[in-house]
Amino acid sequence: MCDLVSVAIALSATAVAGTLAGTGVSVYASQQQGKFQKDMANYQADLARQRAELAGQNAEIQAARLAEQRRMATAAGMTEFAANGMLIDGDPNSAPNVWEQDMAAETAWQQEELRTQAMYEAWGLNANASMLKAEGGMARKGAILEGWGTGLSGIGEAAGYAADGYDRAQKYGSN
Amino acid sequence: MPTVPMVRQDDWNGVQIPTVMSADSAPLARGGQSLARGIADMGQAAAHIAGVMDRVRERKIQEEELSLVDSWRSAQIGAWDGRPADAPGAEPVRGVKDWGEGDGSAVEAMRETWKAWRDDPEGPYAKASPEARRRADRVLMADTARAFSLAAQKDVALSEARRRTAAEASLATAERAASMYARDDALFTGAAADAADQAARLKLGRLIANPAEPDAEKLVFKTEHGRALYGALRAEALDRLGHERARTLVQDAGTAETEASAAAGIAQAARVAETLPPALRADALSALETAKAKRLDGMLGAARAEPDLDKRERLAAAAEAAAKSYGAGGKLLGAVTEEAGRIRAAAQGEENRLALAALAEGRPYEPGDNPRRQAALKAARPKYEAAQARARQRTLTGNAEFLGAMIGAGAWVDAEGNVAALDLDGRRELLRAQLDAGNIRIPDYLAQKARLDKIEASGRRPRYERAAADVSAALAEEIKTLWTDGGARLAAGEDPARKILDYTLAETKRELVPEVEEVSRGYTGGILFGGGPATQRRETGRLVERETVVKRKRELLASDVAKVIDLLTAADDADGLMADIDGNPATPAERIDARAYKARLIADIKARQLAVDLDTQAAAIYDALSGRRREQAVLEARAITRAAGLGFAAGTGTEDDDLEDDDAD
Repeated sequence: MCDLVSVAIALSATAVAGTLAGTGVSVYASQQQGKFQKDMANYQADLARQRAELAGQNAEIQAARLAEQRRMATAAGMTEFAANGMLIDGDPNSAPNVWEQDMAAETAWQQEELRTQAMYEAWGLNANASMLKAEGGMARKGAILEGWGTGLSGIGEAAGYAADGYDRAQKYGSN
Repeated sequence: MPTVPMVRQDDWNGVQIPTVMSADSAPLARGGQSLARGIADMGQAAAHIAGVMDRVRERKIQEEELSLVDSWRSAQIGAWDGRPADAPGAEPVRGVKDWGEGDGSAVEAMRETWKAWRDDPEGPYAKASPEARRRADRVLMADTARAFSLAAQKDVALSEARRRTAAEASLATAERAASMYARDDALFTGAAADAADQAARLKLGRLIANPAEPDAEKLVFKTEHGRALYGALRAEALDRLGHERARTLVQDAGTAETEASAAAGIAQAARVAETLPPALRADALSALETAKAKRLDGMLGAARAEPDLDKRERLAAAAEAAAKSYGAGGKLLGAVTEEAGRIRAAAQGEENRLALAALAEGRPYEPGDNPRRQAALKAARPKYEAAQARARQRTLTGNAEFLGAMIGAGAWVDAEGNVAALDLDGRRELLRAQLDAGNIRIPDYLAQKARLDKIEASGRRPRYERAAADVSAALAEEIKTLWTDGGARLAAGEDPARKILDYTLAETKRELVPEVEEVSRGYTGGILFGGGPATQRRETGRLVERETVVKRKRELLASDVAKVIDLLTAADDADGLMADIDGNPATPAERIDARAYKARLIADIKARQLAVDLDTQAAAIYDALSGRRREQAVLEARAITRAAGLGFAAGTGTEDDDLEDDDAD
């Protein structure tokens, strides 16, 4: 009879210890998972912000390259005008001068367009960075909640096992 | 018109505007669900733990209840059935159920036991929880009720047994008195009345209102029929006592020392039996008859076993007289008379044997004036004479048979025990001397004389004498042992037809058997390793003749001696004839050489070993002789017919036909 009691107590203790150990591991795993997700989201957000900056810089580079191309094209046109016998003078209403002014106006407009595009892209990237950061925070909080839930379940289960073991030990001990 | 270069938006390598993503709240929701599940699990665990605690409590209460009930039952069994001693070395405590007279009330004892158990402040009942006590009370109620009921029954039974024991003691005393006074009518009547009164009181115990009243006339009965029932029971008891008295008297009479007291007891028992009612009377009379028969049978048995014949007859007569004095009649008296007659007849038969033995042994036998002895002598004398005559007859017959063999052999043993061959005249003298001496009878004499005459007339007397001499010489040692008084009579204990000697019959058996040869297979095991060449036996497929000698034990009887002599004589007649001596049809007949044959037969008898059975040899020789006689008869008949001029015989027809033809011519 004593043997049965000892066996019941030993089995229950093993079950309780196993359950508690499993619960602890699960809680730790949840914490680590949440932390990792948050770190990953922060990293992604940093990347997006860097890309937004790069978009602005890229727009300036594009605008400079556009202005240079336009100047070279205007110069070539003016040269063509001159080759065909057109007088290049200071008359603002002469055809070559009007054409040159149009070209300069369009260049300025297109540079502005490029900058506007870059601004929009940077805005989108910055918005994504904020979203990623918020998601990382939520994952971290969710993991903490999950860890609490797992811990409660494990403790409850271990308590049930302990109660069952007590019951059996009482029963075998009384017989 | 000069070509004007245009810059298009596509050439700007413009940036792609990224789509703005939305935040995913799933991890947070999953965490919330997990937390809710954990809280629910905690609730279930709490409920489960509460259930377990409830079970443990219930079990404890049940154990407590069982322990209470077991404790009471143990106390109850210990009190009712008894228990071992409380202290080592003390007497065990006796159970209430075994209580007897003076031990007190069983109900009180059980009640005390119950109270002591229940009210013990240190006992389990006081210490038990209220719930366990409430539950145990239900079981204990039934248990205590049963225990008290048993105790009450025991008290009632004990009081009833007490009353019965007292009444039975009175009855036994009264009955013992009645039995002691069986021989005295007056004393028995008083004692029997007392005993009958006690018996009726015992049976009617519950119907009597004043059982302590000694006077039967003053008894008061609880019912109207009580008095009548009392009278009937009393009368029945009186009859039973009378029956017992009759049986006691019968028993006393059966074992009485003297015949007078036995006869008186039997008469008194018969008188008492006559007063009983029919059923009891028949039983008493039957017992009386049995006692008489046993007593008489004992007397007759003593008579039968008595070795002295005179005393035996006197005892038989005493048994007859006793039977008459007991008043025995009918079958019993007839049986006793008949048995006494048988005893006397057996004594007479024994006396006859004694007388016959005395006569046979030649002892004196004086009958005197004893009628039994006189009758015995008268009966034994003719038997003795007839036995003597039979013995004489047997002697003569034996002698005749034996002398026949002796005379046939022609051998004689003289008074000194020497064996000598006799000639024919010597045999005649011997035969006559035996007749004169009364050793043989006239018919035996005539039979033997006829044989001698036949030998004499046959003209072969020398041949017979020679053969007899040879055979008697060959058998001399054995013949001597049979005769005594110089051959006058057969030695005592000898059988006239007994064997003279044992001999061995060695028969040669010939048969065809398969031939077997042994073939060498060489040194199959290798010559270096020792051993001989391997051999194998196998059948050749041919048949060879094998001779086997079978030896059998045979006996030569006295009557065979004459047979041997006749065979030797016949062998001379059969000289030169073909005969199948060994009796085996498979071997060819051989020509008989009489001299060699006789020499071999005599030598065989001397050696006690024959090659062929005597009867077989005799059959072969007599067959050859009769064959020759048949041929001679045919020749003689042919000669006679030829001489008479008749032509009936076969083989002579040609000559006869020729003669007839000649005559015709």
